[in-house]
Amino acid sequence: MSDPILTVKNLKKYFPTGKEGKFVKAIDDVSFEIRENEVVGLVGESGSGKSTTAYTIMGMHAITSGAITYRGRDLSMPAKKRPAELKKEIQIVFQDPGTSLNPQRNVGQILQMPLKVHHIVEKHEWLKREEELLRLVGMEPDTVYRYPKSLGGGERQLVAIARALATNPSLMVLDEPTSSLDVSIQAKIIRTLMDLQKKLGMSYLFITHDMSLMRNIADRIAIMYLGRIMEMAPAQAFFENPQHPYTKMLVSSIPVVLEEEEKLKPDRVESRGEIPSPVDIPPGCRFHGRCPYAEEICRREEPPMREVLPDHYVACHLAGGKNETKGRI
Amino acid sequence: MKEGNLLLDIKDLHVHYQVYGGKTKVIDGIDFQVEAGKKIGLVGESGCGKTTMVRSVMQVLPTQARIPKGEVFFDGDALLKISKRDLNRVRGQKMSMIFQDPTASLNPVFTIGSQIEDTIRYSGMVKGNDKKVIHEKAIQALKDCSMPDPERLLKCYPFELSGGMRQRVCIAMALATASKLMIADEPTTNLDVTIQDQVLRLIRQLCEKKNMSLILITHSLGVARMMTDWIYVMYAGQIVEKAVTSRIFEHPYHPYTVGLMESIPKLTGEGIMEGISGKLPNYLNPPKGCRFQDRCKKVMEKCRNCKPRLFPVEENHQVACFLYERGRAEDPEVSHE
Repeated sequence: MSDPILTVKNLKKYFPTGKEGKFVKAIDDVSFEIRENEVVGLVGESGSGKSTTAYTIMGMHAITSGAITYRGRDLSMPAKKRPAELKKEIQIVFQDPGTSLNPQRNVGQILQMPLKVHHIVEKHEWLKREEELLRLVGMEPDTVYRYPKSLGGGERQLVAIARALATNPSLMVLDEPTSSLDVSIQAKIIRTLMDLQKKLGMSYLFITHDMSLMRNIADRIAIMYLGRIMEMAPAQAFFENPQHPYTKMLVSSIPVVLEEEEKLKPDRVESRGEIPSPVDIPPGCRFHGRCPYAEEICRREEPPMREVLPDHYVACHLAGGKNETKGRI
Repeated sequence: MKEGNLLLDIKDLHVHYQVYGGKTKVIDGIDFQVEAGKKIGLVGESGCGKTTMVRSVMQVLPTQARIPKGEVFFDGDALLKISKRDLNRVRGQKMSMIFQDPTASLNPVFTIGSQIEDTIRYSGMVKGNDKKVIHEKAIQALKDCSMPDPERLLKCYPFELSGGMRQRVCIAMALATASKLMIADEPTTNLDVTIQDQVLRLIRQLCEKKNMSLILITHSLGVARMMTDWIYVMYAGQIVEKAVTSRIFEHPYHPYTVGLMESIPKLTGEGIMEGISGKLPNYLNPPKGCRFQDRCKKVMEKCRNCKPRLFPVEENHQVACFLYERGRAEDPEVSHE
């Protein structure tokens, strides 16, 4: 097992609501690590704190408590105070390339910015490097003169990826990079991303709500619910032997296209209820209101993260022990 | 398809939009049938004309849209020809539509109650517009959608509800008046997968209970598979494949459907898929012949010049592709039964 490249420990991010003593607990005690050359998938419903986690790692939000370390160096400060050489190691691709690219600049100027800010190459080599970056993501080098408006959604996202690659990062945070695209275009972007990951030896923190996509690209998957990680496991174990009732509910809700996929789903846990407000998080296990197996203890005590199988962590009182929630296999 | 059973029959529909720079030929000769009590899926990617097509059924197209050719028959009425008054009667009492974004389709400054009650009032289904009857109907509509505490809900404003609840309110509103056909335009695209599951189950149960037909527009083949009896696959304003749901997943024929199926990430974890290169053709100047030709791997000379019709490949399965011409019965109006 390789060393972690990024470690997040007991991370909390609370946003004030304007009311005395009330906070939106967007991230509430999250710990995980990303290893060298690894794709970690972070999944969850909207409002579960996936994107806040990404932004906090990028330093876009000041953290409330906890620690982020990059290869042993502290990264807990906001982006402004981070050393430049660490900033360029971690780059982000946002969900909507329509708003993350400046419409008044052409692709060349967009790609130039990181080269300029981080002094990657000399000024006279900028254009050459921009064209290289575009080739890297499978686009024509003459795209440098075009504007985002004239590009399709998929092409724009490729430009955003090229921009993130400009600083030769070792970790990329991908915040739902394909969720605004059609499946036929998504396939191409995902392929490009995965080829690049192998070729350049990067690690990815891949945030998405698409579980089927995760099954195909992630090495490990963490599932978030109301600001907490509920289950974290290698991709195969995550789908073949899900432990947490929430994971089962989510996986059994996925609409699939093949009969073989239907067989891979865990026993159906009927979806019910909705994600509660992150201001008033239910006491005990935060999932107990929607959980069909909830017992007395779930209403009282917050379950700790336990390693139930090698490298397979679950935050559930009942997982692995009692029959009702035992894995399918 | 048996003529007597047909609820909706669209024949050779063309829709053009008048835009700066010319006419965009968005819908190009579509035939579409819905039998009474059946659930039909209309699948395709963004910009392929799915929404335009159903909007032309509801007659709620934007003002720059023109229908130069085609006919829409619904339950005995020719919708493109009847008077505005008759049209309102049909729309009010026989069919209704659920839109993709419930936040945008509910008015933020009126309560849920006044919006549902208005819908019932203007449908003309309550004689004399008795306030009490309308109120009861609104409550019943919410109860049908298994919403807790409908009395309180009627007094709520849309912003007080979650996305899933708002969509359920839209469904309740649609069902309060419609009796024959429900059109759901990507009803769950904005919702999380667990909530999507709940909403889809609700739509299916209600349609089955009231024996209504459903046209479900979606870009997700998975959702279509879960919900429908028949699937029409649409590409660039044309129907490229239509079949019974189970058949199309067992054996897709059209190169576009095949590509689409391959593009979808599977739970089996077989790795990352190919995708379809290229993009939709320009509607201002669509290519002659098959509209998929520039993205098709199996393109032939003929595809560049002639527009393929729907050729039957199996029972209950038709494909608009010259690969499956086969010289068999060339009549596209082959019986579905």
